Amino acid sequence: LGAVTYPDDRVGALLATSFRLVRLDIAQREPDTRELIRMARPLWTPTLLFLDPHGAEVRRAVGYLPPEQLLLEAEIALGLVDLLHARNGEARARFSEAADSYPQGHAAPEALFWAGIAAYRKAGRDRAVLAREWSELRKRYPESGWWKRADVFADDKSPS
Amino acid sequence: VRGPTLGSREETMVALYWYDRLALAREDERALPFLVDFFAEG
Repeated sequence: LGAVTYPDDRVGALLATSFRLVRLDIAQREPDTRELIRMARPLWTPTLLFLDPHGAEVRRAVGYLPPEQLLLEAEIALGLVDLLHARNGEARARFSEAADSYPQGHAAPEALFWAGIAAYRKAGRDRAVLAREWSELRKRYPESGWWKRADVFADDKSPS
Repeated sequence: VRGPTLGSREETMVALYWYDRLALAREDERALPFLVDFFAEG
């Protein structure tokens, strides 16, 4: 990440404006660093942990990510923070924009999945809105595991 | 800490900064989220 992904201008711009970034070498033995590692328990490096402003984990990414994949991961994490704090309209816009910006990204179907949930919540838990949003997921990524998760709620089943 | 830091120096300071910011963030709903990168040199 340090050699390729972080130097990317787009990555640098997003991280600098939207996150407080902390990098921790897991080999460090200082007590404070060790305590953070014990708390997060990364199983592999690199592990990226996305936390909301209160420290709640919203997303975790393991392994190397090229620039566009990290950008997509970060945008989804920001959308999840919005969703967690009931900023449903902002969340929906962020997820949709992320899916449109990185359609080849491995997490693009997931972005559309969450866009549907954000829109559903914004519409007062309107199931028709959810079905409409997720139809886009089915249209773009019919073989995706995320569409298969959404398909559970098709037709006669209501989401919780 | 604004943007990526390079190398592994001052890790303790970074960790303390993180704790401080978490404490401050509790007062501000619109504070920025965190991205914590656990890495290994070499």
